[in-house]
Amino acid sequence: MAGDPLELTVWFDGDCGFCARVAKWLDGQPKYVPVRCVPAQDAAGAGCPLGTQALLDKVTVTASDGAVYRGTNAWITVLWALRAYRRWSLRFAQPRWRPMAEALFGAIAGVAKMTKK
Amino acid sequence: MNPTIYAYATYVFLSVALTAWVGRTLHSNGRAFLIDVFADREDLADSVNHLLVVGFYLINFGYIALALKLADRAQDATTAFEAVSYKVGLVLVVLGLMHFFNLYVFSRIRAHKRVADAPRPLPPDAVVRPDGVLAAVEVRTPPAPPEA
Repeated sequence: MAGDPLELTVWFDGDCGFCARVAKWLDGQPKYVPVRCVPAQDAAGAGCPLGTQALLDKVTVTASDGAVYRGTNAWITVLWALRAYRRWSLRFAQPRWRPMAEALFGAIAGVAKMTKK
Repeated sequence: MNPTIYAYATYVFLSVALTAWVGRTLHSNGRAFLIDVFADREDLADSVNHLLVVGFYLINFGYIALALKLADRAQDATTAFEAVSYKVGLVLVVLGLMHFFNLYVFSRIRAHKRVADAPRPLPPDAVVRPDGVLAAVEVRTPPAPPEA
């Protein structure tokens, strides 16, 4: 696994219109590392070791090297993959920016829950 | 030959010499820096270095040529000296500004590279082992990553 090019998979809620829009936006962003967006509802078929319920509970990112990131950490890791936002990812990962990151991504998760069908 | 001509000749000589000196300094000291930025691609670093110095020379020689003319002709050695001093002083200030601009460009390139090379900033919350089993689940406290 070492030496393989890294790839990220974002598991988003396929029943949430907002999440689907975010996933579409992600697809269009220039990236340092490939990012694949897969609806959490397809997790079992796509070979994800986390169950759909766990994935719906918190947005989750899995990396091709086996790392799993959840919630705010998942967001920060996705931003790290994007050319335009890696700077922000490094910033949000610092302890003193952590509360800001929790507030921002918590709010986004709240919007996602509200738009769920 | 009147004093104005002497003033012009001295001005051109000093300005060109100063510009060449600063240009060579930039060229020789910028190289190591650019090699670091361009990840040991020496050919690329040398090329960018050369292009930067060419731009630097063009702007400075252009400025020297444009600023040559004296509004008040030099009457004697004293006024000629003052005129040369004033003009060379302007060239030095322009060289200084260009130099800081160059440093700014270099530091921008370097900061950009540091971001582009950064590894993932957070440790995983869990790990999927090669056999497909989820290990070490749930949140650890985030570590202190290096200051960006």
